[in-house]
Amino acid sequence: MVLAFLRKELGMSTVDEIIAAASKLSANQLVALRRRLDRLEKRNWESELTAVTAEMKRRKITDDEIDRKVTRRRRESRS
Amino acid sequence: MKSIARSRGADVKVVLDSMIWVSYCSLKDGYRHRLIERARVKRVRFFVSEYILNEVETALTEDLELSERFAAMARRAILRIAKPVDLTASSKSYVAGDQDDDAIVQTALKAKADYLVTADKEILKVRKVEDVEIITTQQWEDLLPLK
Repeated sequence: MVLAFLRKELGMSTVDEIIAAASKLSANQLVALRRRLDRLEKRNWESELTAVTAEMKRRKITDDEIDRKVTRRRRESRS
Repeated sequence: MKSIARSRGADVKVVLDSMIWVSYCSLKDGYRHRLIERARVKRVRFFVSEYILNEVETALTEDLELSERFAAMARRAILRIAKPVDLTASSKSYVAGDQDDDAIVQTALKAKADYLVTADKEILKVRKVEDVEIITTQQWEDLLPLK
């Protein structure tokens, strides 16, 4: 209810709301929150990485191609 | 070369060049991704510098045309695996072919790494700086025990 009020009356974003709520947590609760956020972030990363891998395969990007791109950028930006 | 599975039990310290991380962050079932995951199981300790992280982000967004959001997630994924080291300004040069590559070598020196793994031919030519051996991913794989 408080969060709904903050969102409506103060135009707070979801992130602001979460931070406002987190600021009221104890040290132990903050540690637990961080652990859960870390797990969530890792799951999101795995999901994004799976999608990007499929995209790279579709574009036929290989390790050799990545090496060429990185080293070419190095040489070009420094010449 | 030192085996990754050292008899005295100390963890081996490795710095991976930017292109290895770019592969890790874009080809999940690729050779390099699997190699890094295997090394993690073998308690290999990774180190990275801001210089390498920036180069990875640039390669992901500008060379592979991935989103900045994905590049930021990739940076955080690397930092979950690798410990950051600060680079101090150094006038010493290590890479004759391209002295600007010195930041990669300096990362390995600052981390007191055993190995710098790279696919950059100019850096590979250096072969060894102080106690850091500069090797390819294939050479690195050969050092990792199978079990």
